[in-house]
Amino acid sequence: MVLPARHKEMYSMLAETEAHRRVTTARRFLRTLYMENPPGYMGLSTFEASSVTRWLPAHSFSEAADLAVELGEKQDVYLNIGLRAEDLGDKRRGTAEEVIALPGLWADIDVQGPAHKAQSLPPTRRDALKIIKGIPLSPTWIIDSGHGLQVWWLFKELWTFESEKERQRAQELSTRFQATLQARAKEYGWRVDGTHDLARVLRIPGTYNHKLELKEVEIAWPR
Amino acid sequence: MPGPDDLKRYNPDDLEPYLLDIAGREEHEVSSERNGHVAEDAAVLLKLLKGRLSSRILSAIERGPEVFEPAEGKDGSSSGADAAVCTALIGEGLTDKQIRDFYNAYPIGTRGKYARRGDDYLTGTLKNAREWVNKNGKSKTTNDDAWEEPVSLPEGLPPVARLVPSMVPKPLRGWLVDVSERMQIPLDFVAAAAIVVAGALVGRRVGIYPKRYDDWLVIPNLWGAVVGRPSLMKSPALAEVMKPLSRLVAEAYEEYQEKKQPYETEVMVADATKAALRDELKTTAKKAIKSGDRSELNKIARRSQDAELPEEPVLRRYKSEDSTVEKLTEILLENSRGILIHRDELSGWLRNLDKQGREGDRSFYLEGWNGSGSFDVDRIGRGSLHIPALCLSILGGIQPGPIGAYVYQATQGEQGDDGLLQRFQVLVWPDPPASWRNVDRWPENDAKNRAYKVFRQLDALDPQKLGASGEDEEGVPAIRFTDEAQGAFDQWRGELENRLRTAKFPSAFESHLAKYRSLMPSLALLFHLMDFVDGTQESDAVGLKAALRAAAWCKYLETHAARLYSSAQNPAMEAARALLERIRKGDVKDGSSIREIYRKQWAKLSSPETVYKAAEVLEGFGWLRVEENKTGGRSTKKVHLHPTLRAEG
Repeated sequence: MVLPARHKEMYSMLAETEAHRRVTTARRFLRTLYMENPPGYMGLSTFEASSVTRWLPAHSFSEAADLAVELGEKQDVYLNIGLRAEDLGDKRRGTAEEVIALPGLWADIDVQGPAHKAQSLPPTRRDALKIIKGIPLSPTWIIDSGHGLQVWWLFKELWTFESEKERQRAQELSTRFQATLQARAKEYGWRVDGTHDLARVLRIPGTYNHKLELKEVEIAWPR
Repeated sequence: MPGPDDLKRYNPDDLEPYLLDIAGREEHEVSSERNGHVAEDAAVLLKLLKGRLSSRILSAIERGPEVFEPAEGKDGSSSGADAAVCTALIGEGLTDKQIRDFYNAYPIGTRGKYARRGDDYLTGTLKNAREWVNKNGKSKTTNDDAWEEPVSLPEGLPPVARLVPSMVPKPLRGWLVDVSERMQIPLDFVAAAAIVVAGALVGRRVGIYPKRYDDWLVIPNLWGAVVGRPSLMKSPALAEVMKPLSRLVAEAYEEYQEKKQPYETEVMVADATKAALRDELKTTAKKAIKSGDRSELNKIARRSQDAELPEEPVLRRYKSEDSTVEKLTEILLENSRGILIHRDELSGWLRNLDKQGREGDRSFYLEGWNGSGSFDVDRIGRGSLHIPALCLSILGGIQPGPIGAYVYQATQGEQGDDGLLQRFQVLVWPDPPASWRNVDRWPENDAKNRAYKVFRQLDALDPQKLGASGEDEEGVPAIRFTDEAQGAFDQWRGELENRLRTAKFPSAFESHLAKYRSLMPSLALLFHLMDFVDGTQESDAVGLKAALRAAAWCKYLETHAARLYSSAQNPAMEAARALLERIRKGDVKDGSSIREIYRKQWAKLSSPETVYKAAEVLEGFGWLRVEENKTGGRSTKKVHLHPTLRAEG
């Protein structure tokens, strides 16, 4: 149906309530991730045509959630997990060495399916959960990223590095964490990509995964 | 989503004991200089596993394979102990590296076969154990008394859509946003209430034909409710929205009084005239008997008949707050446009209708929702009354607890499963505001006056000016959608009907959604009328803007309805959630009695029955066991917590 221009706003109203729910989800996720008054900047990256990263003050959860959902309407949008000391500009995501704070540790486990055809991946989400059990402590979140699971073990407080040594310790912990999960996967004959880099990006609940059909990134557990 | 405080979080040091050492990952041997670190890691791990491993496995780890007690018919040798220990630890999710740490730190390894035979032996044992677990699942040796993995309780309330100000019709927007900000109440409360009030004012004065040619008529009277905790100021919110209606009530009463006085004078004159004529008739009749001339007599009789009583003025009734069905019947006989029933607390009204012997009342209300039907009321000893047009709007507040219990009842095939609940289409159950701030400012009078004027003009609506035709057999004037709005409605309806046919909704919710067929056109009509009387809409048909706004409202209201029906948990489930939360906080210890728990008088757990039912639910989900001990004729029920809960505590 072709609409007169004046009525287009009403159509957007239909989508507005739904978008609001997703923005709320993203905002709560970011707020829980970084907690009160985090230092530095958080980055939202898109890789559609070229890599572009928008840097926002790390405490601006609402603005970041709005932006993430808005960008996520048309493309995949990712969060740079580690915070940076400054706005690095659109063209730079920065390296692990520039990370100043970390909210927790994570696992990014692809699951076999139309988007991931490798036979070495866990066949189902339930199988992917077996890998997670390599860490006997219950995760904070299990996020269904659309074609796999992204799992978080959050720290009790944001780990803000006070020295390079401390950052290196975090990097080592992350590397060992990923190695543990990889070893666990290997026991089942599966493979998990190493995602130990502190400059790693992950998806944000409330945004869409655009690989193949549109799928919302959702917190699968706890609901 | 659980709140940030409910989520599991860790210190980096909490995670470290479970992680592979990169240097040692490829080689399984543990160097002697790292043994101190290994022992520390294994000790932390064992502490965490204590609630989950059986006593015989723990004893074998801590005291050595020689004390191992095999399960009946199983191998009790050192190899048997290693096989059982490795199987149990693998079942708990430990890696080979972590298990190897145990063997380097505890007597199971340092005094067992591992110490004598070396790492190849352990590697083989681990391989066999892992194969066994992969094939058979988790070993039962990990559970003291075969505790199963507890199952999460069903989800709590689902999220709802927020009402964005742009969804509120413009003529009311400024007023309602101002009220919600000044009172610090959800906009949802006042907006939903205002729509129901507007629907009541229009009532049967104007309807809408939702289809292009069909004679299916929808009357825009609506039932609405605001759901929230007592502290959320539901009643003041409703009272604020009722104010324009109260003004109309006061004016109607004044007008009635003005007409009533001359009417009573006229009645007195008419009565006196009739009495005088009767006297005159008697005198004339006596004369006529004597004279035989009846002409004068007939003249007086005709004059007496002509002296009719004047027409009695009718008090326009807009609302009723506590009327019996009989009284409502009388009001409706004189107010065919319909009436709003306003109840501050709807739970009492709902409970009353559930009482035995009130079936007739239920039918009355159920029929009144349609707005288009007639109804016969039989009155004991006073004959029956026929209401040609029964049109009721309902508005009130209710708390989550009572509505949850009511929904449960109404969705379990018990009394109440007759569609009464589904008629509350404009029900909103918003999240409580996250924070409160003191807003102290003058009301926005321009916005308020504009909104009040809309209500007044809806009351005075002239269907002819609107271009409404009375094609309906009952003579209710009605309008249709414009072409483009009709397209939008048809598309919206098609989507709704297809969704209803997927059979994916619980029946009560499906029945609720099925009533959106009339909700959408009702809302569209009301939005159109508000714009029309506000002077911002001239069309004599409901336009696309109103139709789309109505569709947006349906989408918004659906999320609130989903919250309503998901609250239909067995009240015991709510109590179970509360009890589990208390256990996790450490407020309830392993072995606590039901009596000890209810005496704490925690919310939702304040009686022995509710605590017992909650414990029963949690037992069903594997979180605890209820044990009954009888001592001297008196029984005590105690709860035994799942090992994971004990470990959390």
